[in-house]
Amino acid sequence: MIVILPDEVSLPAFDACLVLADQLARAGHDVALDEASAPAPLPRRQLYEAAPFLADLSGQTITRVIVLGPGPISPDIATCLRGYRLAPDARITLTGRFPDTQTRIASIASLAYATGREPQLLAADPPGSPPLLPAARAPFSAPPGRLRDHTGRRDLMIFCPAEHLADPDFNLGLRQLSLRPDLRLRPVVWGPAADPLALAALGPCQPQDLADLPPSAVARHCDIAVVCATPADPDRLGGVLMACLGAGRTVIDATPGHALAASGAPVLRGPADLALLLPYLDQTILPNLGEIARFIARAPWLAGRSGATLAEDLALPEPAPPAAATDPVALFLPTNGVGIGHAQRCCLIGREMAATTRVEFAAFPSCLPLIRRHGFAATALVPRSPDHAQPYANDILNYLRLKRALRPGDCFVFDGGHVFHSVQRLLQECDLRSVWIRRGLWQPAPDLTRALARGRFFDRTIVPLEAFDELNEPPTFGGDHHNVGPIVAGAPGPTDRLRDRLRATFGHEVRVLVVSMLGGGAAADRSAHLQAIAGLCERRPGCLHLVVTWPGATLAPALTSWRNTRAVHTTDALSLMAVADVVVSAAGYNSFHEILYHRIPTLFVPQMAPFMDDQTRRARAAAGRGLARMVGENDLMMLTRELTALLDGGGIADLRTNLRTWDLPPTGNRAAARLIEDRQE
Amino acid sequence: MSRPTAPDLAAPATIAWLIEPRFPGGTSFAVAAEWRALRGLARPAIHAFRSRMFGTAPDTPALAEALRDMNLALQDVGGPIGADLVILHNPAFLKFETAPLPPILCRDLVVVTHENFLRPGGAPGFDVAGCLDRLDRATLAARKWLAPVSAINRASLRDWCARHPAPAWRIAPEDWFNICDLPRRPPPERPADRRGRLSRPGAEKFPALDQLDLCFPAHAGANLILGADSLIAARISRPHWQLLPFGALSPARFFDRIDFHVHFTAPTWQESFGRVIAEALAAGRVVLTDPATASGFGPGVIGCAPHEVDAIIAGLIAAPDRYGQMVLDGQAWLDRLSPEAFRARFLRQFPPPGRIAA
Repeated sequence: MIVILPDEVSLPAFDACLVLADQLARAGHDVALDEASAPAPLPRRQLYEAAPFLADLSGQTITRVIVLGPGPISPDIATCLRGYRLAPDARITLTGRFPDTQTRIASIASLAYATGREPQLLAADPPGSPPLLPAARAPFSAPPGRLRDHTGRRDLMIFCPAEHLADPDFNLGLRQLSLRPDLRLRPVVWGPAADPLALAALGPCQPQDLADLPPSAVARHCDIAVVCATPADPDRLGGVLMACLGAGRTVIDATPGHALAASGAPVLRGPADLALLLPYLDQTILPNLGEIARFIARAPWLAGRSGATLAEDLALPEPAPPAAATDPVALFLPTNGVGIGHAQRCCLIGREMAATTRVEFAAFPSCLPLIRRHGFAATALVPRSPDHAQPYANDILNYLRLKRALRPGDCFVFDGGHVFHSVQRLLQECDLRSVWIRRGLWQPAPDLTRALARGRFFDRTIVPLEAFDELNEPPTFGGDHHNVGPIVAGAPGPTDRLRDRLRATFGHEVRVLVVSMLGGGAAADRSAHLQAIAGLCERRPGCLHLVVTWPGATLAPALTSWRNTRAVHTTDALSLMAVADVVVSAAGYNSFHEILYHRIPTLFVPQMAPFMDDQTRRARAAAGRGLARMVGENDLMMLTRELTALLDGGGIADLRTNLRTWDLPPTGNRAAARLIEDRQE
Repeated sequence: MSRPTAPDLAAPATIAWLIEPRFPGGTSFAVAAEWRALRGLARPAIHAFRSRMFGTAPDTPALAEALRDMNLALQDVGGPIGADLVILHNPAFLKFETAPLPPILCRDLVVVTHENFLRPGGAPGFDVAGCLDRLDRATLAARKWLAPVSAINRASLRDWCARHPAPAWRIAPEDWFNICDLPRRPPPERPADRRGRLSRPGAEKFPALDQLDLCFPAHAGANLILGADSLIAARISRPHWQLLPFGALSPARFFDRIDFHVHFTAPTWQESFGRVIAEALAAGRVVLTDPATASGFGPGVIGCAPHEVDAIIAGLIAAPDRYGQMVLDGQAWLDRLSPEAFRARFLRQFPPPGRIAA
């Protein structure tokens, strides 16, 4: 195990350790960061990146320690070192860029005092070769990367302080770049949060924070890096640029005074004015990307900074051999908490995948029974809990579980509206093919554009369409977007004599069967609606009212006092709906389309919440075509009136007739599966 | 900047001290004692160079007190320093300086090297070359001396000079020892297993924790660690240890509460002298320390390893007479570090002008 320590407990010093840890771990080394060396509280961004490395080292025998200068170690770090059980032949290396001889000597001495042995000193840069960023702490290596084929869109990353975005000219320059169809613009910023108006102006081209960018993974998402300035603590930017250079990516130095180029690094001096960047790209860079990559590969400056050289200089032990290659897996991650609609959709798609494709899931506990019933293996994820120290603690744990579960080349399929931070990081760090399944019908929201902008992390987006055209978004241009027909469950399970079985199970006559599926959970409390339906059914002899929920959902205890009402927790709601006389349902994507495609008479009660889809529009589209009835979510009087009309006024028969004759578009289950598999071939 | 006046050979010799008046510990005590010891030999001038090393720290009280006693003024360095002899104590204070030093014009420049130039193993103790180079460039002198404070210090200088040829500098033939004019107290009649250590809290002053455990075990009657600031900050403690920050007790009260001063440092650092060891001896206490440090003292200071401490202490508790005799012999040895001895040694190396002329 290689322990990396900063010279002091501070965020910049710890971030530099993270950058070095990332470099070494990518090369296969077993790296650890002492949690006692991390500043507390560690910001969320660093916490994700540090999580795989953070360790409690008490009681462990340590053989390798690397300490990053450029100053003498602080008392906190000395305490860490004094607490280590160092092996007799433990090797301690000090590296960094020391401002003067005395600081270097004092740094060496401070380590010698704390450990009782002399450290080895490693210069952060090869002799006579100036550093790319003199203020950086860590030595940088240029990990070899694959050259990209330059036939498609080029990823253009622009690095700048967040405050640059508020400059109207700079902002306009970014917007102009974002409109180029042959470029995919990715601004990367640092420093205090950007002005909200400036961010809004950028539309879908939202910037990413530099702290969210794992350096060694960046080359997969970058063809051209433009550096407009350098941060005060530049280790992360240094790691990013070295990763780019190692993979032959073009780095344009647009800093004032061309500070990067002055180091002798193979970077190109570019215009500091963003308005001039486009012609520079068009005339100088884009036609010559291949030649630039060859120029970089030949650069003597880079030759002394290879990953192998760093490992040799640090005298690192041989890294563990990489794990044996396995067949790629399609790993689905549905995002549900209480409900399991996303999991249901993923299972339906997974069942359409070719037999040769290994399909696995990572899902929250409420979804696991359903997924396993479909025959898929599933890794359990951890749901949020108010008992956790931070609201995102579960996401960090899930990040670690997913990181362990995924292998290079796997296909990662995410189904959900909110792309978790863990998912964003995984998509950047791991060599994956990625698909985002996101249904449409979003409600208007101020940050909708930014939410949808997370699609940039995915290779492909699949949008399951709604059954009715007016509910679908207009076609999206650019990017790898695909619309498929509605994802709908096939035939329900065996329904023969199901009503007889219900009669036997509940010891209740079933002359009329009413099924309620109103959702609930985090979105809304439906107790009053259920009580109203239960009260109506109670007055009808021979009527059985089933309140159907997903396993794990909670129901108001008062429902148990009704004689004609029973609660059913099941993952097979479709079978119950199929034998019902009438269904009272929310208008979520899955249940809505199951109801339509299986021609089930329904009274919709849309469930609306700011973070949900627009169920009112969906219900209204069906009701307007005479395929269902609907009442507003708060209209209890109308609910009982409409339900009575359906049961007593012949409304059910009318709905059945209309449903039987209405043409619905073909389902998209198989098309979605093919789109996912295409990426695996 | 005024031009220095030429030396007047008919006048009494002049000695100028160029000091950093904020050095804590042994350096400042030695300087103050030196002024008193050389009183009347020459016309003294004291120049204060407040270096970047100590930032805004106040002057050390021991120096201020000596200046007051001797009716001397402390002059801030503002221009050239001229004297027959210029004495600079501990050049390490120049290690963070970047600006040129004021010109120094003298017959002899003596740089008293209170800190070892090399650490055990040969790594530099500080930027010696940088400090000496700054002094060398600033000084016009017939002779430039490096004056070690002890045999250990001398060896360190020799090793350093062997690796970094410095032809401008000569190593003084005799040690410029730290004057220890300390009040003597008798040894305890029946020493008990009461152990302690007193040092500044720096990391270099402490051995590894397992070694500290050997020095201060649970079965000892008392384990008093004064200067334990870093242990306290790191929440390292033992039920049988009493940890006190530096300065929480006066040295006299500290020595009242122990019978054995157990003084080990990080193995990667070496005391150049160890004033606290002399203080313990003068207070009538036996000292146990590493053999190299012990070699700079006489009886009463036992060189050993931490794992040998228990047996040595047990042996001396069983033989209180031997303990007492060791202390008395050690105190007699301390006479070698008296002001009189220093004055005599100084005059051997730097005789008055008349004798020089002869």
